Parts: sequence; C-alpha cells; structure tokens
Amino acid sequence: MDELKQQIKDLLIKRLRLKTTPDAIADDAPLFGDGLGLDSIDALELSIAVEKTFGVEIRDAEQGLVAFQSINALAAYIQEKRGETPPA
Amino acid sequence: MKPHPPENPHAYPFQLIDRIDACEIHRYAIGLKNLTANEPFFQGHFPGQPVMPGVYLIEACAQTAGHVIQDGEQPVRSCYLSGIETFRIRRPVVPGDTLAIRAELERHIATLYRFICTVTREQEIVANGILILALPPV
Repeated sequence: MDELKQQIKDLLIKRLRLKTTPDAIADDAPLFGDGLGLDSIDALELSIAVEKTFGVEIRDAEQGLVAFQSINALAAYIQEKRGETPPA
Repeated sequence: MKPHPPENPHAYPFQLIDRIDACEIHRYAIGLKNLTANEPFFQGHFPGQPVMPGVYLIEACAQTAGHVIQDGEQPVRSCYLSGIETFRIRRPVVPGDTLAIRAELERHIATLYRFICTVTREQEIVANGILILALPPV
C-alpha cells in the first residue's frame, strides 16, 4: 500500500507538474481546494493518468469524488478496483 | 443534417462550421466547413498567401464538439474550450477546401469533456488532436 501511495504521489507530481516533493504530500491531505490546490481540469488529467498507469478507470464525477479525496482514498480506490485488498 | 445557424451559439465572423452532418448526443458529431476566399482571417493570414490559422482549426473542432454535449434543449448553451491537450496541424488549409470535422467524446468528469478530434479533407487528415470543453452549470 505504501509503495502504491508513493507511485501515486510521483504520478501526481509528474503529470500535473506540481512544484513539490512526494514527502511534502500528506497521505490524508485533500487533493483539491485547500489541500494540493488541484482543480477540475487537473481531475480530468489525473483520471487519464491513473487509467494509463494503474489500469483503473475513473469515468464519472461520483467515482472521482470518492477517489480524489486524498492519496489514501485514491490508493484504496485503485486497490479495490484491482480486486486486491478491500478498503478499510 | 442540421442547418446552421441557429444550432450554434456563435455568430459572424466566428462561425467556423457551416453545418452539422451527424450528431449523436454524448457520443460524436461531424461538422462541415467550406472555406471561401472571403473568410475574414484570410485577409491577414497571409496577404496574398491565404492559409487557415491553426487556432481556427482548433476552434472549428471545439465548435463541432460543442454540439455533442448539448442536452437537445433550446437555446443552445455556450461551452468553453478549456484545454488543448495535444493538437497537430499536418497540412495547410486553403480557400476552396471542404473540411469534415469529427469530434468524438472520449470521457467526461463533472462539467469537463474530453474530445478526440480529427479534421479531414477528401479523406486526408489535415489536423487532429485532443481538446477539453467545459459546459458551465445552468
């Protein structure tokens, strides 16, 4: 799970060209708004990146709302969709 | 075939499609554009050597894509081009050309819609790319 979270942070930084480091992103910090400050166009780009990298689709706003809450939420979402460990 | 206007929210000199030849809501649309020597942008781009500006090709794709995300109600809602993920202009487009512009909805999240767009002239691809449109909430 920790490795997955690290991969997600690397992906976020690379794909969204964030000026931060993986260590500076808290696992439970909100990705949007007050947290990392992402917006809806970032969400669209992130959904494509997640699909390409992890093979998991985020195809609508409801899925996005759940998956993009935080690094923790996104990691849990990816694991659940891959049929690995169910989310806690 | 849909006549045009009034199906499009744009007006002169910014109507970049003449009609919609096919449209399936939330799937795809095909727009048609006939370029005459009188297009306003040919005056300056370039004097004596008219070539359709690349940004107008992008806009023509966006206007076609706009038809895909309407809900069928009138008046047609304005949507905004909010992203150009990638776009390639492969051939010059000149007076006399007829363009078929296909915009296919690939995905959408909330109010953002991602389109795969292809512009062809007599079966030859003259431009293609991926655009993102935003449809503001009513």
